[in-house]
Amino acid sequence: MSSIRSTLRRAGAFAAAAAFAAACAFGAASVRAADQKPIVIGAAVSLTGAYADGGKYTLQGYELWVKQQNAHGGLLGRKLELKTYDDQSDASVGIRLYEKLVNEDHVDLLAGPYGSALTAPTSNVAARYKMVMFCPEDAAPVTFDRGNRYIFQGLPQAVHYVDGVMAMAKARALKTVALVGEDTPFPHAIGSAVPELAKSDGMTVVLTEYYPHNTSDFSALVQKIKAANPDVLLAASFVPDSIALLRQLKQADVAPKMVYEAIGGSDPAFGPAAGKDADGVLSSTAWSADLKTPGNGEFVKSFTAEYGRAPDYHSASSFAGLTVLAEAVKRAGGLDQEKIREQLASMKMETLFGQYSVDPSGKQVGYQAYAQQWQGGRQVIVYPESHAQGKLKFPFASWRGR
Amino acid sequence: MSAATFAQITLDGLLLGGVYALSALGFTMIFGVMRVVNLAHGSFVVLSALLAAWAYERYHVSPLLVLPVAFAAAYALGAAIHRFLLRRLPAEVASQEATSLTLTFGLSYFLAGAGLALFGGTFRAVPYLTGAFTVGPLSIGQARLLAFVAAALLTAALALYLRATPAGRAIRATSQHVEGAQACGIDVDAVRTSAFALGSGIAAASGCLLSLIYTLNPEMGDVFTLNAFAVVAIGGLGSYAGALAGAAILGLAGSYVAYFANAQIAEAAPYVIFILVLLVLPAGLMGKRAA
Amino acid sequence: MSLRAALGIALFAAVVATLAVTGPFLSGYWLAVAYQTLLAIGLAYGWNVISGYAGYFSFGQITFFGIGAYTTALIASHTSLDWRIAALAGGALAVAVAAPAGAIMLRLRGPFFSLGMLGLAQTLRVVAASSGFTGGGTGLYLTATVTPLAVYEWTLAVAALAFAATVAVDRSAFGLRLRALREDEQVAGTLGIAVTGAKVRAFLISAAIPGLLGGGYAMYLTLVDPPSAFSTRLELQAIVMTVFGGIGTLWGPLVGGVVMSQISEQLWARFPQAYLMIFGGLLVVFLIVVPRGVVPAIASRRRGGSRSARASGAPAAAAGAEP
Repeated sequence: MSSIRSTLRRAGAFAAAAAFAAACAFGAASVRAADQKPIVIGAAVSLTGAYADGGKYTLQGYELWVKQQNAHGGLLGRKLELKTYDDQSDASVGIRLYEKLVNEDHVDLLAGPYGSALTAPTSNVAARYKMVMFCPEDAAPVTFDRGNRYIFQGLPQAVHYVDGVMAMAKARALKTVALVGEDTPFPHAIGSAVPELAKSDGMTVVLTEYYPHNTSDFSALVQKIKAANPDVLLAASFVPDSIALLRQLKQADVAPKMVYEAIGGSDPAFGPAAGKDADGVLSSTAWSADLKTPGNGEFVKSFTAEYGRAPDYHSASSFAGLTVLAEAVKRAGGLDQEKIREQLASMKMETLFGQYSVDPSGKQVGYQAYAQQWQGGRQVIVYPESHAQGKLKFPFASWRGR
Repeated sequence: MSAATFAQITLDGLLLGGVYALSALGFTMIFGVMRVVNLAHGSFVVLSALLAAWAYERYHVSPLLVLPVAFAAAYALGAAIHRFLLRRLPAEVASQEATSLTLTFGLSYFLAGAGLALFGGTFRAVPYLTGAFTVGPLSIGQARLLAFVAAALLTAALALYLRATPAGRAIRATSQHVEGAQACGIDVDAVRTSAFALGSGIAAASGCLLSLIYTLNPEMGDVFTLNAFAVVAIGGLGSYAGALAGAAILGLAGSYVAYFANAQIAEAAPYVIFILVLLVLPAGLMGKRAA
Repeated sequence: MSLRAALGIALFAAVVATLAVTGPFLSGYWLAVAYQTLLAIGLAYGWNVISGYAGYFSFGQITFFGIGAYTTALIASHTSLDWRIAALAGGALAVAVAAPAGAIMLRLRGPFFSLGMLGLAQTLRVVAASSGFTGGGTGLYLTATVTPLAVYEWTLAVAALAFAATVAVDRSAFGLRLRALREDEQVAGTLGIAVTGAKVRAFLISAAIPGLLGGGYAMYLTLVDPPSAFSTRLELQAIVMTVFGGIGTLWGPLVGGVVMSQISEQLWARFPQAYLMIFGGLLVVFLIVVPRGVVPAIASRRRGGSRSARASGAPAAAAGAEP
């Protein structure tokens, strides 16, 4: 036993000597990195329950960023450490866990959970302790409209999701729009922009209907769409309802000139689940693997190598979110939360998504959402033109012609 | 509105009724024989549907070919659950109903967790039979038509089995009068085990067919359990014809309310209807009043 | 009042006072843990009266929690009243709804009542999700004006009230009537017990408690939406805890609440991916091993396995069921 210990001690001494030599060679920063406590970033995301998918994607983005940043020397010359918990998709558990991160784990920086339903309640904890919380996974405005000065939005605002599809519709002189969506905050935020946009683009909204979460039968809604006969169908829908709605459109042989399924259509899982019927469906995404933003190519490559799948926009957002937070810490020159807050509120920087920039409430105003279309089993960005990878296939092909 | 639209909505409602009837069949059987409200019913449906979706995604196997496998697996699992769990519950307890309810409640969570471990939390769907037949101005979804026909055939087959085979007759005898069945030399425990197994198998079989209609993830089981309960509560617990009638009522009501009002009110319709029916006819439309 | 009763009351007051005084000294995290445990215990006690004592196994008492939560959030966001007054109003409205609802639903028996209540909760959830004044599917987002400590104290008070109400039920003629109707409602009726009145009153107690707790929850989350207000998870938790501790017993919800909170805290921290399986599996195992709950099992062990659970208020049939 004692011989083992002395060997260890000797090894330790050797390591210290090596570190010293390294410090002499590479400068003082790496000495600090080896000696000082790591900077701990805390987050609670959903690994189980209703938001388990999104939560897992979020966590992978966080983990990859911390790993890469440590390989590049950490932050402020210190190593980084990620402390995470599972909030079980339950807001009261989320509150408890952020309390734990602040009071028990004494983390240095806070990163947000997945989704508005968890970001809104847990962001109060951050405000109570006057700690900055970067929220990469909340696109709805409600969380940021409550006077909380310590939170910053990482996704483009949901109200801008339909900008692209509406612009393309206007360019093709389409006249009528039907808006349907799941009756939860995010789809409502997406849909809220439609009436005004339609008015300014000279279009008429011929149908507006929100359906409950978990709806699986859309045959009656499809009949209403058929009766309203819109040029453009805008569905603020998630994955399950997007697939069911599309299928029932097919069965009732209803094919508007443009079919847009905001969130579900952008999910990589949508293609295989909907099969050939996915062809022509438009959707919005805040990010794409093909964007030519700084560092995007490397991110996609390293993410795929790490997790064996292509990244989605959630992972990209949580990854980009920590990049922004770290930049703010660097500019603040330390971990003083007020100083970091000032930086986040005023700074601009290029990220995987485009330029980061927030308004006084912390809402994101820098990025835009991209419109993409399923074409032959692939998602192709078709708007805006500056980022387009292909042309919009127009109109949406009639079901019998396929 | 045009007559064609009305006809289409009615047809959609009836087809939806077929979907409901299919998802309630195993549930009815288990309650009829054992007086057990099987809250794990939906988990059987979902797990088998996910199996079908996984097999299609991975190997392009038709869900109809997965059906016998899922039936057999669920049959075995159901038999084991009854033999090793349900049967061990104390028999002569005033609130045995409550205990078995709680037990199957726990099971439903266990199975949902198992589903998450096996298939992950991602939504899956099977792009198979997604087209429609057109008859004049009407369109009939292929998958829904299949579900409708399957519900009718399975109900008929089950009725035939219960009436014409010795094993089926033993099940019926047990569901009607336990002591009487025992006096005739029927091994009531064994009959109950096979009834629970059969009910689970049927739930799994319907799951394979429902995989063509629903977008699924492992935590969705309670959707099917609730549907099944609403169907059966309206039709009468334990009555197969009643279950069909209940399903038709729910399907039509859902379709009309969603068209003439909206989808949100339609979601409440099943609950409102079943509460109302229960208050007027406590045993449902065709159920026999429990002794 | 007997000496024993006086001692019991003194002890109860001392425990509640201690919990109230320690609140401000707890860290934010431990305060959150304590709040969630108290909330769970309160809900379990509320559920236990109708389901345990009266034998009407409800899957929908969360309905009244939701009513309390929405009422409080609405009053808090439209007026400047103290939120505790709003929460009291929430409890009152829950009772006001429960009176007719109970009179109607309690005509159903067995699984019909259980799932009828589930249907009621779902119906109310849909109403909340589709009405403008409740914010539809989005719900109501509140500004954070109430401290977690204030919510903790409120919840402690309601949980203490729930315990006291259960003592009153457990030790009274009313409680005896409830147990009688649980064993056999028809016989109880022929013996001259006003069956309907007794079960509706039990139902009202079981509605008031979640109604009062709901307001605190709304202020704690600073948001009320249909899934959080009509949370199947909280409902399930109350049922599991009571069944584990001992359904229809005075101490069952407390023991179940404390033990299960600890178990789930440990499990979830360690096996986040498998908690559904473990939790569901544990429930199944409990039912097989201690079908009547931990408290009656210990009580009968202490009495040398004699079948005198009857004396402690456990049902006669339960004693007979002990393997």
